[in-house]
Amino acid sequence: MKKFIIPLVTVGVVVGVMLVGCFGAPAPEVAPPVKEEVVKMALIQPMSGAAAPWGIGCGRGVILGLLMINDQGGFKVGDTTYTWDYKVYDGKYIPSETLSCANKAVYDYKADFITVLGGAPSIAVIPLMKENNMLFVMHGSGGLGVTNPDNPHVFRSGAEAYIDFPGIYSYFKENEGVETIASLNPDDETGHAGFDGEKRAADALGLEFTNEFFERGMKDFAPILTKVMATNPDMICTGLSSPSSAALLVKQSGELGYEGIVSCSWGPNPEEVLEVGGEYAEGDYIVMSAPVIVDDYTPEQMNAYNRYCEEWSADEWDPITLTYWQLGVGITQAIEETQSFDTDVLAKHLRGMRYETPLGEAYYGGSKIFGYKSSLVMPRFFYKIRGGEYIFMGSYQSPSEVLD
Amino acid sequence: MLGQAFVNGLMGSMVIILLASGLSLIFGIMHIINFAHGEFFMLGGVGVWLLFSERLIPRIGGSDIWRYGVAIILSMIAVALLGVIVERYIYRRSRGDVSASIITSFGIILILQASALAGLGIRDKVVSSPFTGMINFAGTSLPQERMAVIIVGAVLIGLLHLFIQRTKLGKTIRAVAQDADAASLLGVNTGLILSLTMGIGCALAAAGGALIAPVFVVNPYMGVEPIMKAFAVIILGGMGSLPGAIIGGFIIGLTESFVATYIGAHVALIVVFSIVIILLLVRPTGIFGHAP
Repeated sequence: MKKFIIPLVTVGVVVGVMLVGCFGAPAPEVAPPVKEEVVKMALIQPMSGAAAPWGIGCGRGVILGLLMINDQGGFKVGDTTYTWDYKVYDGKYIPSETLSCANKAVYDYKADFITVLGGAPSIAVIPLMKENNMLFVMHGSGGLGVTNPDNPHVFRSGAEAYIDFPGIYSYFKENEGVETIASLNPDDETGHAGFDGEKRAADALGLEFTNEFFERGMKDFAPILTKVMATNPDMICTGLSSPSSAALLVKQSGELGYEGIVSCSWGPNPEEVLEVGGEYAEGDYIVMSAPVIVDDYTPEQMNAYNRYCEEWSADEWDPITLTYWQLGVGITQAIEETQSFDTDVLAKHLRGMRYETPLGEAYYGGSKIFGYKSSLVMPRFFYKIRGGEYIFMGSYQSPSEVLD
Repeated sequence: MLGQAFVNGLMGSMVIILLASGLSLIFGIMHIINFAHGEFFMLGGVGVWLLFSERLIPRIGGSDIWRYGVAIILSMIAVALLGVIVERYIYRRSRGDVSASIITSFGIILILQASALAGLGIRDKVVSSPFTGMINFAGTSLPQERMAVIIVGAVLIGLLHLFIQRTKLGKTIRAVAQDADAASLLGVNTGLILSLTMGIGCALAAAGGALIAPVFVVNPYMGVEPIMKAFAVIILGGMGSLPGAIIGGFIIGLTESFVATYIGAHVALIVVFSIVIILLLVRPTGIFGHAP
């Protein structure tokens, strides 16, 4: 008997522990597994060629917005937390190349959203977007070729000549007494859309307006400036020229003795205008889609700036980054508010949505021009160059009654 | 407006002539078309930006003009050496094989552009000109920096002409151009002549880029547009002909300026290339070219 006591006691203890475990203290709660998924954005930008500085700057703006969303843990739809993944393709600002990249983005990368820079490249991609029923938020111009009632899922996030030039030309008419304007635009889809938008705005305001087209990438503007200056305009507008073209226009118009205002109205690089334009930039304007003086940034703008510097460098900061920052943010807000990825649902929601950006409130408008609310409306910031510095003169937004 | 159009066209012509002269020289001796010539032009601009604007050459005394001159010369030498290396170790291997030489030159284009983009970054680089101010006469404005391009370019072309026509080495180059085998039999080191020619051609391209850098901006793609016109010039003037490159350069540069001034910039290149085509229909070998 004695030799069974210890084994019996051991079994008894084990059984007792098991019984307590089963019917005793309640089991601790186990958190349900967190569902996390990735949403993919493909960015097709000109990363090489003459438009590369523009493409890289804008692309970084979009990426910055996505990174900042991810920094906050992403966004939720139902029980699932989504974060953004992105991939950049070099479309070279060439429509055929952009379409090739878009095909790779859709079929290889399996992008959920695609954004393209440039009007002409965007037009090439629209049929593919329609075929795949994808929401397409491009940035660039392209006018009615891009956003029209046949393309209800296409939106323009960023500046657009039809939307912005009524406000820009109003400013110069009221504050600088400008009556005659000569504009110079690149000879492509973007430039022609720019010309249309500027002419429409000038006609509405009763301003005399002429325009010259030039081959994108051209560096020597002396011949066409000679032609333009022969008409003695109050203002030369650099239209939808690239930042480097705008800076060269400032310099070369001054070298030829032009004494009126040169307005770099479309996403110029302020530092480049000052550096290239030098003494000839005095009295000229840069019209920006975002404030340029870092020291004057609001806390929200500074957050974005600091995050940019972490990811890239302060030396490469381009203020237009803030303009394109909101592209992904707007799409994210639309998804969160609708709790849907459905293209029709998102498109309908974007048309009525207003959202906060570091630059102020943004909304999609332009129904009077494009047939539906499709183009982002945001303020423009006016800077005059004095003593080698740009002085903030005020911000202006095109009046909503003109747009919708 | 007429005088201004003429003066505007002079600078453009001079840059194209510098590029086309180098291209023509290389084709005349080596019988290859150096499609990467525009990138050597770009490297000349990069060299001046590095040496002059970034102050790798220190400033001594009050004037920047001598510093700018030294920067141009050093850029030309550096790019010439690069050209020699490219000829010796890349082009020479594909000599005689047209397809291979075309593909290798496109490869060189991509390598040089990508390297410049990696080194320069995304922003255009600005070279402040040591020549400031304008000269105004009879209603025509000529910025001094543009006049410097015209004068220095003309001097370089003149020196090239004297070198080719009046020096022993120049005569040797012409001999190799006429018949490389015969020259070799006479004891000429044809390999050395090929390298020297490539070096001179690339130096001229670099000079064009260095001179134009303060007028425009420096970026990895600044050679793309000028080289297109330079090819038109050598076809118009006659492949391998230096006088043809000069005359062709003036025709194209001035035509472009006048058409842009009086009609519009968007049709200028159409008119220019139409003239080239019409002239080739009349004289297929170009103005100073010879039938093979």
